[in-house]
Amino acid sequence: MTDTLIGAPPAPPSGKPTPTPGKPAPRARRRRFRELHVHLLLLAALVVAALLPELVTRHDPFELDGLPFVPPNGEFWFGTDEIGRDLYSRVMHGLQISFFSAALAVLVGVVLGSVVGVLSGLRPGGVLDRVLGILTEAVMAVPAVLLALAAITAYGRGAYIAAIAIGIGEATGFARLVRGLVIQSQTLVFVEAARTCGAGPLRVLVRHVVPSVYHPVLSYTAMQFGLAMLAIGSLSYLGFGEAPPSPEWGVLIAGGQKYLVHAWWVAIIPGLALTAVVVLLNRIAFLMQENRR
Amino acid sequence: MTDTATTTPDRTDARTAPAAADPADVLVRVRDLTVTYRRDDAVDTALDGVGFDVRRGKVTAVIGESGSGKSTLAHAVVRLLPGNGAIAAGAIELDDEDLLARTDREFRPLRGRHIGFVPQDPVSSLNPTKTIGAQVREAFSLAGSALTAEQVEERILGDLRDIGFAAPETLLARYPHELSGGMRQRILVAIAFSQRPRLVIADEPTSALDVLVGQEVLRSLHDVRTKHGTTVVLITHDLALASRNADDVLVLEAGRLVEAGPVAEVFAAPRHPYTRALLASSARLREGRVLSIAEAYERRGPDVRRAGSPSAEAPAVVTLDGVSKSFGGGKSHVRAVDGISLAVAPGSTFALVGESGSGKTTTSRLVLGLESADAGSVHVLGEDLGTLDRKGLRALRRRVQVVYQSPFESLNPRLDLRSIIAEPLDSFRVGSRAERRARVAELLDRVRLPASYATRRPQELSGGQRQRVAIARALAIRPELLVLDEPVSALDATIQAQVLDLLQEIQQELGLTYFLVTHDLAVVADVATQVAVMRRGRLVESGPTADVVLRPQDDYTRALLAV
Repeated sequence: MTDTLIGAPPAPPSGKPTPTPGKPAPRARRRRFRELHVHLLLLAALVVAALLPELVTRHDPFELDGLPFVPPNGEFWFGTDEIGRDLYSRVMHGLQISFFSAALAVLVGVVLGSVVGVLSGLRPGGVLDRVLGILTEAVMAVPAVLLALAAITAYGRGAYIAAIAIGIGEATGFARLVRGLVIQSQTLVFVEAARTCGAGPLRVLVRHVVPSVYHPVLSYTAMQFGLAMLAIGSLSYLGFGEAPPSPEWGVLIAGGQKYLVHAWWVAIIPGLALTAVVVLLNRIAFLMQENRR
Repeated sequence: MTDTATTTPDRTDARTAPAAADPADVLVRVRDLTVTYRRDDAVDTALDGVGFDVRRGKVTAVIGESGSGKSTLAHAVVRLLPGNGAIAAGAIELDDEDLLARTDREFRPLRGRHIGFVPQDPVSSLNPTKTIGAQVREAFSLAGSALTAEQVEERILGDLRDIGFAAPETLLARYPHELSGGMRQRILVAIAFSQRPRLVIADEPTSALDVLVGQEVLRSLHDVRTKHGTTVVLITHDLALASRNADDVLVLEAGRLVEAGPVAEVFAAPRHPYTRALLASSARLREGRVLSIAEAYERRGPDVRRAGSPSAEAPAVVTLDGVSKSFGGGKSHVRAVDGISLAVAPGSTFALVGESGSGKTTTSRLVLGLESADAGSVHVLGEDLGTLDRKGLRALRRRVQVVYQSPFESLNPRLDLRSIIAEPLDSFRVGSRAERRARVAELLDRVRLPASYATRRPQELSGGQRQRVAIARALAIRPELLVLDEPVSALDATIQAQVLDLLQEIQQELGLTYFLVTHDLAVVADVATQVAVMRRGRLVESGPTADVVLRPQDDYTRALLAV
């Protein structure tokens, strides 16, 4: 009987609003919570694989262990590439590069963005806010890929250099988000109450503002993580990130696409891997946001 | 809980006077109505076997505190329960027709045409993107009115005139944001009555409005109701309002109907203990009649509670001298506070009274140093806030604390009560960890909350308990001045009295000075030693409570007192 109406808005037994309005029906909420946990477990498994790819592979990603273009089988799970390297092993080692360069990009984005966002949000309309706002807009106006290309031209090729540049681009989004949240939090009565209790700005920030607003940031981080992986993959694909023989996924896809007709797996499997990871991260972002409600 | 059969005997003692009326006189008949809400596996029973009759052409008030199920009742009748609510049992009849037999689809034509609804909040109940005219006309088209466009227009203009708009023609082209809250609510009343429904349900129609405005709205509602002979069900938490406007009353407590009958009888001789408690909490209802604020004040006589007399000789705790404060520039420029002067004697309770937009909250924020004055000087505890630097202001915060209006918003939901109450102690690093803990326990005891509550979070507490926590926090560093910003207006009437008593007790014990900001003169009469009435940024009247309440000099004060 209670199975119907999942996701229906709740109601207080009276006309007065409940302290937590807009919560989805409990059953749906619990299901989403479980789903989030499963997704986070998957993510944790990915992190382990990225940290220690040797644990989950038998072949060396650079050794010519088989014949070229062996289709996926029991020995070579993802087949072999054009010169006989184990594709599964290459994908797993590539995960390390993709994953950690994207993590670096997001880290740069979160840290830089949060600092800028908090600084401008504390005094909206102030001099600092205006200067940082103009800077943010300027960076936003430059396409992230162009920024990354410039950085690579200046500092040399490599996924991690591209990642830092992409992180700077992503920081603008974080800065906007955090600024908005900080401004919004200033109107919370308990934040003002803390201030009238004599709490200093840092104490108010750490104890009251951050815990009330970090959730959207976390969710946005998961989403940006996926986007960063895509951006870094794209750069490598275009030949501006990692270079062969690196097993970075963009490189794998670029290398494999020449043989797409008679050995589809060489390009398609790394592509699917990238898609799967990005979908996983986006799903986590979505679930976090939903659970927050 | 959901088994209504077992609860039925409880209700036999309930008065069912309206039911005894001539059956032909009954418009709405509700029997054994049980409404449940699903939540976290459990099923909450919001209404438990409620049964009553609504007499045709009369006003029936439904009273009760928050959570008593009175809004649920209104929504069940018009079938607008939220998705997780369901009518589990019972019958609702309108003119002997079983409403529950109708499908949702069949029910829809009833709304508007036969049952009108006046919502609580006029701000969110009108579409901001459509003109008033479009929204009133929509009521006609939705109800499938057979009138021609000209007839509709004529009817609308007539209705709006009836409801007190002098020039309705100009009104129709305007948008909701161009109208005041009271005007919007009157538009909603006009819409509810536009199809000449048999029944109109008004859910707290004035509680989002200022008192004077709310009275006007009620007066217009009364006028149209009388004109069309409509039956009205009035949901309210305000006993005085119910007493003045209703013929019959239903008293709900926690989902049960505890008493029903003609308002005069029930209020004069309540039978159920809950009704008695409810009536006792309102100082203005005596022997079934509403006392004026002045009468209620006089009845209490020279109150012992106000005996903690201020020493007039000592220097004032708060002095405002010609203080002004404006917001915005250009067209949106608002003079929130316009040259006001006042002085608060130590140990007294100074009440600043005004309606919304009067500038009273801005004044309290000036006293707290959260805003700085454009002109004039603000002295608090001997410090000039205009010249105080950040460090000085922080030092002053040790001596001035505040209790906010809504304890639902002023307590951080992520912290437990110990952390909340210890906030000022932690901020000023008062004492050792153990001493702070001991102080929190002492404070919990002081506001009469069990010590075990220290590890609870605000969400686990009721509104009144939360406000006690807010008071405990404000007392933690032993301030000299407490700013009380509408400290009880978010609470139920019975709880209001308890919190006010607690505040009085604490004041006597600790010799605190209170700066009380409120819209409610009844609260003021209970606790204040000095009263200042504020309107549009200016003080229209101020003086000792007795003078202001018993011998008001200003028309506006008189109007407020007449409520």
